[in-house]
Order: sequence, then structure tokens, then C-alpha cells
Amino acid sequence: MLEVQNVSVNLGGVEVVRDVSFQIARTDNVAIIGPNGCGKSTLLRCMIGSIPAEKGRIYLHGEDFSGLPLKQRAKSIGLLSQRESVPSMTSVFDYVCAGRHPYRKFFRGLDRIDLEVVDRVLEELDIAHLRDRVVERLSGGERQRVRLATLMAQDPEVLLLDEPMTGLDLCHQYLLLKVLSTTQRKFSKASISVMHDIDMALRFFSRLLVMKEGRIVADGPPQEVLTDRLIQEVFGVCGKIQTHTETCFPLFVCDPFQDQSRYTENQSQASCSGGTSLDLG
Amino acid sequence: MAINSPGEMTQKSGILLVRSLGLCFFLGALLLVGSAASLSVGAAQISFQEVCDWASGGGELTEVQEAILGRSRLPRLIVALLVGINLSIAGLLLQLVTRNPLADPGLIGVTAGAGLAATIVLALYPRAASALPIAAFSGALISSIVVYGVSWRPGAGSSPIRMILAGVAVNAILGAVIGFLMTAYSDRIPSMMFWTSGSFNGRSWMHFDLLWPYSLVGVIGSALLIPKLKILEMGEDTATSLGINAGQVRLFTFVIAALLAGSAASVAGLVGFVGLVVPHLVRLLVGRSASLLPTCAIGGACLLVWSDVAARAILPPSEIAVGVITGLLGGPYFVYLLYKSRWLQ
Repeated sequence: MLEVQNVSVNLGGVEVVRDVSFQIARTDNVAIIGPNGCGKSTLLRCMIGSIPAEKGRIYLHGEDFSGLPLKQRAKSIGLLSQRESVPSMTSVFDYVCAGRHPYRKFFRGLDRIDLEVVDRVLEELDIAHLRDRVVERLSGGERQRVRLATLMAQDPEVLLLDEPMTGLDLCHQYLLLKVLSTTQRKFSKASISVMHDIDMALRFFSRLLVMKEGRIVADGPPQEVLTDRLIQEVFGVCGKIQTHTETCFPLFVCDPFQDQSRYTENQSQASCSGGTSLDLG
Repeated sequence: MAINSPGEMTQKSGILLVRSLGLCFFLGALLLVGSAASLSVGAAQISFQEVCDWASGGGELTEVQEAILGRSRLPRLIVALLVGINLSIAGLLLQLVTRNPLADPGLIGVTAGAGLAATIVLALYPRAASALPIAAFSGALISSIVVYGVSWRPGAGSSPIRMILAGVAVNAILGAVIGFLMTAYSDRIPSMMFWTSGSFNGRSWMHFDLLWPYSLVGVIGSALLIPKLKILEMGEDTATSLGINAGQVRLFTFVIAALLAGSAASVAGLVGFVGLVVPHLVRLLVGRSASLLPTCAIGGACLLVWSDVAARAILPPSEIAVGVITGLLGGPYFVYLLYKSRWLQ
């Protein structure tokens, strides 16, 4: 349903995204990984039209995305940005209500459906108790959940999440994954998340895009695509993807100071074949 | 997962609503009393009681008294009211769009731009007085965009302190040019005092006719822009993601703010600090609620009507410029804001 076709983005004379192409189907659950500055965030920002693509097109249901009306675009693709500022003197409720902006009619306030949606997402992301608090005075993790709630209230067909786990504690990281997967399944939505946690990318996503220097260097199911070799090539870090003996989950064990050749002998020790994705539903 | 009872939450929202409504009501009452006071203050003796009776349709006034009220004091009151609305809304728009609590049309050079443009019209084309608001609007727009451009840095946005400094520089330059024109065309231009410390002395229905179309357009434009500005405050990417054209909203906001501040300056001169004090206090009290714009408008009207009363009542029979009163009220508030802001430490 979403097609990115040969997109290149030029920021201040530097080609940050180079000739990127991929397609996203409904209910696709994609993670993008790659080193800092490899163009992940820029690609997402380009997909919502925040920065123009120098070359290439983005098509949504076969239509040129940049030609659609702004509110239509907002209902189709929504971004959880890293570059956000906190407005002063704003309650959590008012902040999340901004997510309903694309559904507002000219000169009309929020209707009953909008308020129901807002209350539902506040509940889902475990911030209903913060409803009347001022956003400025929340902790980083609480604020992140408020921003996620805003995106959920916006309710786009494709959710773009730029490092959604920033500042979240362990419990809320998994709560987010759970909310994301239920929302996706229930309303058949696609999502693309920029991730830094390799283990999470391996276990909880159906598809992985690996980026390096503005290009996509690998695309496919995480456990097929991600190899020790690729990780070393892309991140320059030695390590080994192993299957945890008790749970059979794939884990990346990092050993940055050793040579990779050391691990090849012990390969036979792995007893599980292939990991199983944890079902969060 | 501590979730407060729904009752408690609605109660809190309720308190905010009651507070906004209460504030509107209080300011409205203050404005009514101020208006009556404004009509009764002046050289000719018309008592407060007589004004109230006249306004409620009961009392009898002499013909002379009615003429004074209808032709001199009433237009003056209404012009003061509109100027107050214009300046406070212009301040609100500028504070929201620049994310800068210190943005005020007077401080950041918008009013000086209007002043220079108006002075040029008065000096070179003295007959085109009806073009004053348009000229003032263009001057205000140009100077506001210059100040914003100078204070803006890629990535960092517009810092409050850079903006104030740019405003000081632009004010100084424009003030010098205005001073030069005043001297060179001293026969044509009434007085420099007017532009440096505005006044409502002798404002008539003609000034009202010049002003109201700009106020109307400005208020409607602000009502459309403010919800978008609130979202723009959340960051540019988020706003774009929510379907807002950030560049367009910013440009329209500067145009509307310049329209409001420029037209106000063209009839009342430089009345400082109204656009700083009113929106700031109102935002502290009602936050981002929907009543922000109306409360701001009533608050601004209230402040200027009472300042105008004070300007006439303090040293009778002479009259103090209304800009002096607002300066005395707003200057200390500005110093207080500077003192407590965290970005100066």
C-alpha cells in the first residue's frame, strides 16, 4: 500500500538518503536499524513531507503522496519524531488532543468520537492518571508515552516511529510493543520503527531494513537477514547471534574487543534451530 | 498503574473551565466599569452616576453633555478598546509563533516599523492620511520579518534574547530615521511624542473607521491560526505529520500580527508592553484552553481603557500619554520576566 521509489534526500549539500526503494504492505511491522547518521530519521521525515525528496517518489495506494491534501496525508502517515519541543503550560489531555487535528472540521472543535479516542489511547499507554498534568513537568519516559499517545490518537494507516523506546523503562518498552502489535492487528495498520536494540528488532518485528550510509543494505525477515557478518559490516562491532538455550529466543551477544573467528568453533553447541517470535497478543 | 477516579479528573478540568469563565466574567465587569469611568473623566463635568444612567437609557443629559459623550469620549473609548484588543492579540500571536515569552510588538520593533512607514506617508504624502494603516501595516510586517530573520538560527530557532537584541537594534535605527524625518519635515508632522508614547487624545470616529476593518480581519485570522500555532509549538516535524504547513502558518501569523499591531500604532502611536503583559498573564491563568483568544482580547481592552482613564485622571487638567502609563505598568513586569527566566542563567 505504501511504495517508496528511488528516494534520495539532500541535506545541506550532503546526500543523506541515497536511492532508497521499498514497499510496505498492510500490517507490515518493519524495523529499521543502522548506525547513527545513516539517514534513518531523515528517511522517515521525508516520508511525511517534512523535508523534500531530491529524487524519487512516494506512492500511497498508487497515488503520489506529495500531491495529496495535507489532512489526507496526516490521516495516512504519522510520525513520532525525535525532534520535538515541549509547548509551555499544556496539559497532557490537550497535548494528545492535537493528534485529532486532521479530523477536525473547519471552525469546529473536537467531537465525541475524538474525545473517546483520546481517552482510549491515554488508557492504553498507561497515562490516564497524568491526564491533567502539565507536559513540561513530566519525566522523559512519561513524556515519550504522551507523544506516542498523540500519534495513536492521530490514528494514521502507517505509523512511523523514530526511536520509540527512548526514555522508556523496561515495563513500558514492552507495553509499547504490545499496544503497537494489537493496534496493528485490530485496525490492520503498517508500522516502521527506527530501533537501536538488535534483540528487539530480531524478535518483535516481521521485517528488517538495515541502512548504512544512506542506502538500504538488507531487507527481509530479521532472522534471515541479520547475520554476525552484516552486523560487523554495518556497525563495526564483533559479536554473535545465538539462540538462548532455554527460551529459544535469538540474542545478539556482543564482544567488541575480540576477533570474530573465535566463535566459529563453538557453532555446534547451539541446540535450538531458529528462534520463535514471542507472541505478544 | 495508578489511575485516578474519573470523577477526580473531570473535577480538575472543571476547575480550569470555571477559572477561564470566571476570569472572562471578571475582566468583562472590569471593562464595563472602566468604560463608564472613561466616559465620565474629563474637563466637562459628567458624573459617573450620570453616565451609568445614560448608558442604561434612563438618565437625562444636556445637549452639550451628550455631544461631548457622543463625539469625543465614546469614540475615544472605543478606539482605546480596539487598540487594546489589537495589541494584546498581536502579542499573543508573536509569543506563540516565536515560542518566545518576551515577544511584544513594541519591544521587537514591529511598532517602530509601523511608525516609520506612517511618518514617511505624513512627511511625503500628507494628503494620503487614509493610507496610514496600510502603510503602518507594511512597515510593521517588514520590520517583524527582519527581526525574526536576524534572531533565527538554523536548528536552534529564534532565541528570546537574540530577538530582544535585534528588536533593540531595529528600534534604534528606525527611531533615528523617524527623528530625522521629524526634523526635516517639522512643518508637516505633528509631534514625535506621538510615536514614542502613544495617546488617545482627540481620537474620533474617523480613527474608529480607520481601525475597525483591520481589527476584524485580525481577530478572525487569529481565531483560525491559534489552534495551528498551538500544534506548531509541539515541533515542526510533529506539526507536519499532523497536516500543518509550518511555513505557511508562520507567514500568515506574522502578517496578521503586523496587521493588528500596525493598525493600532497608526491611530494610537507606540503603546508599549500591552502585547507583552496581557498574553503572558492570560496564558499563566488559562493555559492553552480555547478561551485563550477571547480572554486575551478582553484583557487587552481592559488594560488600555483603564490606562486611558488613569492618563486623564492623574494630573488634571493636563493629560499624560497613555504609553507612559502602560510603560509604568509593563516595564517592571518585563524586568521581572527577565529576572526569573531560566535561559538567562
